[in-house]
Amino acid sequence: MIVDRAGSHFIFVVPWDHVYRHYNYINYKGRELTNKQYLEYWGKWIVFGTREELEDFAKKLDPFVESKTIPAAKFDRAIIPEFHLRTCVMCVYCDVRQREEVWAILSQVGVEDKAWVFERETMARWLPGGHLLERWIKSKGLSLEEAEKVREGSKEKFRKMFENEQAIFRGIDQ
Amino acid sequence: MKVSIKFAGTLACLTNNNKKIVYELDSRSSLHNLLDLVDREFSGFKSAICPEEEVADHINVYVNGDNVRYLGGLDTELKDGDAIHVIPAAAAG
Repeated sequence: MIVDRAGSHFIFVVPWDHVYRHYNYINYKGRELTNKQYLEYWGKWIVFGTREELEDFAKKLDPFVESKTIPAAKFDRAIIPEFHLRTCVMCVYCDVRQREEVWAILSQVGVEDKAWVFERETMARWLPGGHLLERWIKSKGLSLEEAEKVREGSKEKFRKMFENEQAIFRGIDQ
Repeated sequence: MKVSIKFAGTLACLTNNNKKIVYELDSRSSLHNLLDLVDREFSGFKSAICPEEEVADHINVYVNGDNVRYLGGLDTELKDGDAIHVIPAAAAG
């Protein structure tokens, strides 16, 4: 189902079970990933487009997400000016071990450009010194002290999330 | 051999808004060779993408969907039909 919540920058495509039955879509062949496995295997195909194009893709992908063939997807509600992309981005999530199966579906619905990103790469960019975090800090015009608080906050958030390697990964607040 | 290279987001401004270009390369060419060709046509492109002879932190380059940082970097060998995609790293999450 397509989950469009006011106040969220992203629009999500997730299984109904995820919304109403706490189904964890971060799994491979039905087995939930641990924190360690999440960092090793989880990632996404990146798709560019206008909001309308991505909405169209979302509708086409929804049945595959509902059948759990594709774990989940999300896309930008609007362009994020701070990142100077001039386009909206959709992330189609899965375990790298099933990525070609998911790609076959994306290709079938009209996606042409292939770009695979591991979640660990994205996370590294949101840690202190990471390109995305530093760019966000700069765009907000934060004072040195405020910037340092944000950096510490980010570091602590990820440290807590992945403290126990063998615990089941429970997602990142977006 | 022929390869295509696409430029996403604001990066197309480096190539006069040409978002996709097909280049003819010698066999056994690398990404380095391709970027040199692009740079010959659009001066300044290479220094914007890989200012210190490696892909800049704010850029991701993909060959057939795989980030070249996991392949051979700028020495990644290309083959006929390869699709190269240059995107701002901000798009990755």
